[in-house]
Amino acid sequence: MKKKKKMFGEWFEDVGITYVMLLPNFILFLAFVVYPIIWTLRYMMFDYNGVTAAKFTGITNFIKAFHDAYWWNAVMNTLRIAGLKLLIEIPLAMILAVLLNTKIKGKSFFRGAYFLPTVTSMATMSLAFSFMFSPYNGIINMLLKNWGLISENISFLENPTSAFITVVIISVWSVFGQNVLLILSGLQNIPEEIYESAAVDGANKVHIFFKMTIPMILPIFKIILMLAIIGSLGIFDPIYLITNGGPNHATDVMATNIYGYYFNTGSVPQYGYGATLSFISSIIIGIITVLYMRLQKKED
Amino acid sequence: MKRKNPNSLNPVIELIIYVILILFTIITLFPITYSIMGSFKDTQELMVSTSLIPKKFTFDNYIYAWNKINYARYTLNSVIVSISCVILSLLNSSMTAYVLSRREFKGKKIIKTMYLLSMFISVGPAAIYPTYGILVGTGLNKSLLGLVVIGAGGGVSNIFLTMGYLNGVSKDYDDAARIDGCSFFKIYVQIMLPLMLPIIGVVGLLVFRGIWNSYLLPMIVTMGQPELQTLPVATVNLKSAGDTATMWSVMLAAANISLIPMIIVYILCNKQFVNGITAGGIKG
Repeated sequence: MKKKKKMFGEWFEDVGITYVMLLPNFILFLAFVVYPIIWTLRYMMFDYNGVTAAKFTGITNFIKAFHDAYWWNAVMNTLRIAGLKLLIEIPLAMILAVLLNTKIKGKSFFRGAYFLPTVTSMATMSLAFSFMFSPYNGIINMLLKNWGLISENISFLENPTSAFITVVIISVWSVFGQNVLLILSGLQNIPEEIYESAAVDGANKVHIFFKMTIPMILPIFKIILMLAIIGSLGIFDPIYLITNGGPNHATDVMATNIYGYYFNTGSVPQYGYGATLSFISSIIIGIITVLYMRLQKKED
Repeated sequence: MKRKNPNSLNPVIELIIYVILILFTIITLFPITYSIMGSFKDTQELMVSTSLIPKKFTFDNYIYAWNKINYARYTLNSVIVSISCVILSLLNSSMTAYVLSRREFKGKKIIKTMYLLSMFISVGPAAIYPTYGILVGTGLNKSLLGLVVIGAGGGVSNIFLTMGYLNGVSKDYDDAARIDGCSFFKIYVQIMLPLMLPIIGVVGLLVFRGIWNSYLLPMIVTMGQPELQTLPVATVNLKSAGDTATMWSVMLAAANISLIPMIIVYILCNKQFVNGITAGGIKG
């Protein structure tokens, strides 16, 4: 008996404890990461509204999605919003990071200020934004009027084009600081001696920047760009909280479109169809990610 | 001959750089400043003045938000959920990282691959409904416990961040402790946890930021249970609540009750945030 106990003790120390320590996190992982994915993969082939029994419908949902004009509008909006957002955000972050990497004072203040929006909650800030962009008493309209740039108040969120631009600006605001930080840390990792020896060799600054700095931060930059692409294609919070996809679906993106099938009050939920669309959106994001990685490989 | 420092700047260029940096600083800080300053004005002034600084500072908006629209309760909810999630997820991620970093065992490859893959596979907002289903099925949606359980996991990126750090900690510590008779678990508690403190601080901040600011999931989980709402959920609800929808200053004060603690944490722990983002971003 005593011997058996000792054997268990040894087994526990060598093998058992390993799994005991992994277990809590693994259970939570299965429940809140794996299960929702499996759930989605299963119900994308069902007609299910949460009340009546789920009915297996095979690929019917996919055929429906194929002809769903609202869905493809949301896909196009996602690409447009993500495209414009990246087009502003990445060069802006790049420029600010390069400027911050010079010998200036107050570097950490500027860096800290640009990063500040990323620690705020879009939910909380959406309140300030809705006041700022308000058509009647909003401070942006008042300022533009005071400066003589506009004569009549703009209804930023009620016109499709201005709503689109407003949402992009707010999303850029909320994340660009993170990219400034990442690019800057890449720039700072370049050893000082490289610049010094280049300067001794008589290379000018522009030359050094394009021939040495850019190639050296390229690997990190590619990762940053990929993360930004994936993040932008999955954009949800700013859209949902600022325009909720409006006006008239002009800013509706994949995530907000899908969300509507699950939780929109006032319509019967379509969990099955929502699952189908979210599967399709994962595939779209996956394809774009793979294309991006392929393109990179070719360049190398 | 004194050689010119190759990195010193021409004064004109320096000026241009400052102008650009300051311009974007103003744009970046404007919405936050607007929110904070606006909460000290009365609504009348907020709606007509373009000056950010209030003519007369008033704390009435905060008193109203705290007492009349239940923000004392929402703040308590947010604090309970955030602190519990930070503690539990730090335990989970550090334990998992420790085991994955120090032990070889059956299934290690499968677990690591699953964790890694999950970083690339996401069903977005569609995941919320089945998650909510689990809470309803277990009855956890009836209390704050539901939100705590969802946030208690280590978070795969945090596990890898911690693991990367631990892999850099010499195994000599483990060996020395084992010779002294420490068990595998005891080494974790007594040797590794203290050694991991720097990375635990970083991960803890990232988790705190995520949970404190989280909106969508708490909104769904607390649907129909206003007494369980967290600060971001309550704040968004104000937009459509009849009695406060016209009180802009009160709404901003309410928003700031959630915004200002996060900003203070950020200012105090700026360095950890920077480390966390740069380490996680490049490795992840």
